[in-house]
Amino acid sequence: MMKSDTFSIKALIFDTSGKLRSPVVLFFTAFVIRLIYLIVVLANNDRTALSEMFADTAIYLRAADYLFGINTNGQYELYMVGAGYPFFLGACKAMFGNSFWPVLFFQVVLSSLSCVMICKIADLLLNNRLIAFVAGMISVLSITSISLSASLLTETLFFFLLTLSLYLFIKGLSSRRWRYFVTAGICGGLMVVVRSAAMFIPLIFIALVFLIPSPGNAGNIKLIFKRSLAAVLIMILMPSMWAVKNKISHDILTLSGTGIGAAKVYLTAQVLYSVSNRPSWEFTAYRDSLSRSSMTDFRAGEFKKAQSEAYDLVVSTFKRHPLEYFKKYFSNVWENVTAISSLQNNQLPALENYSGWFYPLRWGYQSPVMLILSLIGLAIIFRKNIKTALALGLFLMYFGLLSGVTFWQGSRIFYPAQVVQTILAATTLVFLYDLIILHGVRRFFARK
Amino acid sequence: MKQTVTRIVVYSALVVIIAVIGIIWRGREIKNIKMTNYGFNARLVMDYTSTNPAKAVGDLKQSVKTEHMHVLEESESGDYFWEMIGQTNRFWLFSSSVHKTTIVADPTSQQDDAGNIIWRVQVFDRRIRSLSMLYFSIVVVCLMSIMAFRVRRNRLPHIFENSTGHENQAVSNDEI
Repeated sequence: MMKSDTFSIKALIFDTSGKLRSPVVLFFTAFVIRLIYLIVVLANNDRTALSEMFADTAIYLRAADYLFGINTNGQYELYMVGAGYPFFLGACKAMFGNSFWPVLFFQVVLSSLSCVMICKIADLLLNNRLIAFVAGMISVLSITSISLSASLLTETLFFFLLTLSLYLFIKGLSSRRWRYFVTAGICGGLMVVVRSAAMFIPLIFIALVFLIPSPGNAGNIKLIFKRSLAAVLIMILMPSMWAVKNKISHDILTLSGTGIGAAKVYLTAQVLYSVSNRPSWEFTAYRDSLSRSSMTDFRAGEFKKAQSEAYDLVVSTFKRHPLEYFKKYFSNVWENVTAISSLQNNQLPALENYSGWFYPLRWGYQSPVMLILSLIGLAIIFRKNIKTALALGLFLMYFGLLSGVTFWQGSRIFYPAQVVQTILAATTLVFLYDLIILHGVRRFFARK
Repeated sequence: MKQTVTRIVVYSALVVIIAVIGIIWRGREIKNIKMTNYGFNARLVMDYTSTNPAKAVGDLKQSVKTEHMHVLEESESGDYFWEMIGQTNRFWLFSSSVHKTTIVADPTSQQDDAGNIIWRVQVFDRRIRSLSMLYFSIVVVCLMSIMAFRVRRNRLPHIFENSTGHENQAVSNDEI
């Protein structure tokens, strides 16, 4: 009977005071863009093409089949990548059959929700709706995020869990409610299971307790710390179960073999090759030979031996060539934090001609624009609130430093840093708007 | 007025210093690439035979110049040897790498059916990844960060003054 209760799109997009409902707008914009992209990708690639598009996809699929008892070959793959994403793939397969589209559709939803989470995190951290909306919009339009949502790779699921756990944790810090800390802990635990590279993020969460300003909680730091610690413990204990399983099966207490494996096959191979003074263009063959050398032990089921050898090689190389090691490591960090997205070229080769649209300012396969915007944003937030800047900077630094062990992976390695990069870049864009559009640069020079 | 002039002078000096550092940086890269020798530290990117080496070298030279590289310096010795120092963009600041490309044609001991000498045409390329992007990033971040710290807060209403107005959600003790 009541007219005002009837559904209208206007009411969905605008609140009662006529302001934009940022999360709704962001979610639907992100969802529509990603869904259209997914439809185009599915129309241009059959099941085989999708499963062979990226080397890692084949590994996840084999691990999923092994985990769900469909295939007996896949023990090595499951050990290398951990249980998180293979479980997600296997569960979708069990529910919807062999088709990939349900998994990818689910990823589209998760990716769109991540954009909303970024907006909410920014709003909680900076108390600024404009920056929050711009941050969400940068994430909505990110070609890395769009192309990853249509790929059978861990990043979308991982990123969603990261943004969700961070949002819940910050929400917990301001509200002090148990339920936020517990759910943040569960999401964080799942996040580590999906990608073991996130295993040290709980430490950043602990730091957040002291860095995130919560004025109403001045006298409750002990209480907040206790609950945060509980959340972090959940984050650590959940993935630990998988590590214990690996200890029982392979006598190695680890979440996955990919960390030390990447350090060996990428960074260590790079250092060893560099000091051997051989021509750079033959490096790939050398790296592949190093990778194959471990396979003999893995195929024989001697996981511990392969892992120990990889560890010894990494450590001994570092001891012999520490300077070269640091040089290559930081060179890789630089390459990864500035890498442009290239996944879309695999998914839709026709898009390669339009790469310039996504990255108008680039140097080969690198573009520092997002990094520059992020660092300037860090300076601006530093001026506003040092602790918030430190909190955001910690995430940026974590994912940056983590990326140094690998290379030639495009923008997907540094993609998780988008959780703060978008907020920092949005701050810079709003700063530039105030500076140039609102006041004009001339007045900056003319100030008293 | 005096303060404004001082400000403009200081910022102009900063721009000049930055430009000088860039010129020195660029000079170092060009010097390093010049010191390389195609005989032992360059990649062989093309290797084929031809009975008309002058035309082959000329075509390749044209292709490098028009399609791949912005040539800074070139040198040639007759029709069969051409070498150039170049970069991937017209401006060093936007070049991802600097190159030394060498095209050389050498006669072989073989002849074709018509009795023409068969020449071996090779293209060598030595590439050094330019640090121009790093330089560009450092300069922009430094300048903009200075600006971020120098601008008055009231000039940045959307950063420093505008807030959502939502209070920090107070929670009653019952809920804890």
